[in-house]
Amino acid sequence: MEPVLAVNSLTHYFGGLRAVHNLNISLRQGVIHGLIGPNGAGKTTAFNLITGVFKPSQGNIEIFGENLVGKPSHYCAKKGIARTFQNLRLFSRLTVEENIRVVQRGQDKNLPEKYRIKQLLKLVGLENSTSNFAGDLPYGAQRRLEIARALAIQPKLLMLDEPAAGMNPSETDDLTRLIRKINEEFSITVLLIEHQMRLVMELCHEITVLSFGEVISRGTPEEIRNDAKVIEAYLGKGVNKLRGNRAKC
Amino acid sequence: MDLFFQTLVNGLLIGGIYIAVAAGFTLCFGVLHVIDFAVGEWVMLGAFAVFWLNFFTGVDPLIFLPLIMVLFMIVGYYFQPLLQRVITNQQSNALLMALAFTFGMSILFRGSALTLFGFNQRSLTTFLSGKNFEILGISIPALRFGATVFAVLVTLLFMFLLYKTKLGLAVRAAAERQDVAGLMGIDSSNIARIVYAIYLGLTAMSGTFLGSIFSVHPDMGLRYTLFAFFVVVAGGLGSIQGAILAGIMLGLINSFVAVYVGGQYIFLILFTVLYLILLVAPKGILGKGW
Amino acid sequence: MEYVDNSQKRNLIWIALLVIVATVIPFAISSFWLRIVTGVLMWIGLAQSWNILAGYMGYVSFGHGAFFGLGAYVTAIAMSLGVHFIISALIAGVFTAAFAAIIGYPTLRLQGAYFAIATWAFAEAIRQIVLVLPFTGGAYGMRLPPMLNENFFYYMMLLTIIGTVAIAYYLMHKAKFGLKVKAIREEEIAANVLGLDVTRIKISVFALSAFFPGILGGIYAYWITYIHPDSVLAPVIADQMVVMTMLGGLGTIAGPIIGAVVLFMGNRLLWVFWGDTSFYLVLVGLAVALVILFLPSGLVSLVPRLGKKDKPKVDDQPNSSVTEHTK
Repeated sequence: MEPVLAVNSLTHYFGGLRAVHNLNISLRQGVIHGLIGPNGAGKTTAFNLITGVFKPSQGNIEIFGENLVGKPSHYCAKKGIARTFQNLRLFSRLTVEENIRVVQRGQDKNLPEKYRIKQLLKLVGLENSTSNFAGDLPYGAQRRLEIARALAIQPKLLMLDEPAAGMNPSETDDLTRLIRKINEEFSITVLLIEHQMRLVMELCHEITVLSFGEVISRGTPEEIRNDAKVIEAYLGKGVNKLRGNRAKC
Repeated sequence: MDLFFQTLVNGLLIGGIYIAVAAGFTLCFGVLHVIDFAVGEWVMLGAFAVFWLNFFTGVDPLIFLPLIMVLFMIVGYYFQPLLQRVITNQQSNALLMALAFTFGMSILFRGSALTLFGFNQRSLTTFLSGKNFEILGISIPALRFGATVFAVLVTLLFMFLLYKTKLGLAVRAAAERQDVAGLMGIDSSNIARIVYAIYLGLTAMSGTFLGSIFSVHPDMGLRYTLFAFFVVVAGGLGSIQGAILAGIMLGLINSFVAVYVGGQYIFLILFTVLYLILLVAPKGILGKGW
Repeated sequence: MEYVDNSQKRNLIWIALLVIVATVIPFAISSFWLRIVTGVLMWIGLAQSWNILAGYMGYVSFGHGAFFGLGAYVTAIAMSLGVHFIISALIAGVFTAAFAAIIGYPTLRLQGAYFAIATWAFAEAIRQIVLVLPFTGGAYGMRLPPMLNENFFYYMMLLTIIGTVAIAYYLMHKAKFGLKVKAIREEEIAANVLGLDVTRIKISVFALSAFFPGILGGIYAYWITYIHPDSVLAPVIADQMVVMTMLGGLGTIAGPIIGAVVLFMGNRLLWVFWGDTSFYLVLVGLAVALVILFLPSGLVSLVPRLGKKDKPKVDDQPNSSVTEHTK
């Protein structure tokens, strides 16, 4: 079967700095794929490249076989990619309900039941805050609203950038259930960046580990957990060696 | 060919003065992230302050330079919190509000000057005015030469402060990240006040020179606001090296257009070039801006 | 929701009353005051146009006066070629809108202060071009055939302003388009990533905000019969659009109306007592500074009912509101 998303030898430079190097990712329909790695590994840059915020220096991004390189962000969205942001980007001075309505394609009443405002807000537990300003919501609620807003464009692929950041353990558990529900009931493929390993290990079917812009490991949660290179990257033992390699290139 | 070199020298000598304005302006933007639309009006106020000091005392305007600088630094030090209030007051689009605020100040200053001093032009005479000396057949106006030497010296002093001293390090840290600078024990609100004070001091001092070289009148601000914008946009907002290069470029465009194309086209060309630079290279011609 | 229905009914009655009053005004006041009221109307339209761009979309232009001046010149040129006034004014509107769309494409890629400087530079460049073009009369300007019918200009302005305000209200407060525009103001990148064609929306809004000033410039030119760069392209026109809107309240329909009335009336009063005085600029500058410092939401925020702009309705029973919204 054709992959939902296929990223081939994606490379991006900021000035002289190489942020992403030769990244390959292929997502099968229905998986939850984790993108992890230390800070500054290029995870968010990869998200920005895939959603058309930046144009990659080299490489290919295909959604259902269609090349997206050079296409504007809204085109990527129409092809079925939706995302959230690491540092929240809600429409603060619009209400919760308006935040959803503004990105919906078509009239709310003509959409499939589960994609209607009421259902989406119920899904993320915000059905009692419809007419609050998004900017006035508590932090965790803002994160959930971002997910609901991303779902409102009826995506095929949902990209979550650190959805659990700043959440306490019980909120994280709720979030884990929410993501699984989205994956199963909406049959949406999920690509997520996350630092909270418990969530990643529990949810993801497969994981890609980035360090300094390069893939250092890939596999099931079990394989990643036992990979020496990953542990090195996180604990810093091998960081100097990697730095050295990078300087040589 | 003589005309060409004369034009070149004139251009370089005008450009040198703009560097002083641009250096302060660009640092002000770097730390406060506010574009001061009233920059030309501060130049105008500096020129008027010197004019009246000279008018009442009869002492040479250039003698007042240090006094003007100190005076406007004090004004800046006490004016900045007002601007800061606008920036911190607003949760959203604070920077646009600050921009509109300085826009309002520019209208206020110009209106006040027009109301108090009227529309007529005044001239400032310094001990250098009207004097020339010649090098290789090219005549060099002493006042412009003095002003450019001054501007370059001030800019050098400025760069020295910024890159070689502890205060400079604090300023640069504040310019990078105000919150982090705060965590490192740098009093960023005081830094911002000092930076604004330096900016106003330099701007008013340049006003003294510009008023002596050209003339002093309430409407002179617009011209220098354009020049300041031109220099910092072309140089890249926040980049001092870029500002120096662009200041010289501005002087050259001014003088060559005036001689070879016609004085009435200067503004058309400058505004158009400014607009095009914004579209094509918003980070400045050196690509070093913010 | 009984409350909404009632308040809408009340609003409609108010609007009907206003229209009736506006229609009979020329027969009730002297021609001196009629000119002033016509001027107020024009400024309401100009401030509202700027508000569409700056208040709702968050793009602050300091050069919006250029579209007013262009409209005036296009109308003058068209009429000098024998085109009927109404057609000329419409051509002026379409021309400025199209022009805005073309320059908007590159200019709207700039953000914040860069956009403000670019529009300012652009407007000044237009003024300088008009000064040197062969067919605009340079600094001397152009004359239009005189038409000394104050009532005609009053009704022309009135009609245009009703159109401007109604379209602004519909697009920004009723239609989904307004939500998209505000989404751009709040988070442009997120709006784009979630499928809004940000470029197209921005250009449409920019063109719309140039369309009305174009027409108003045309009407003004014919009304005043003599235009030159220092009258219709003066920087003070853009200044006043900014000031009136900020004074009244950014991003509200009532704001620019209140701001225009207060500021223009103030201007005329000053003029009646002291003639042309630069002291007006002092007041304008002070007004901007004080409003930004102490009343950032403008005069409308003093009148709670008008100032509610985007404020959400407070629901007693949150659950019921969900059903309302998704019906």
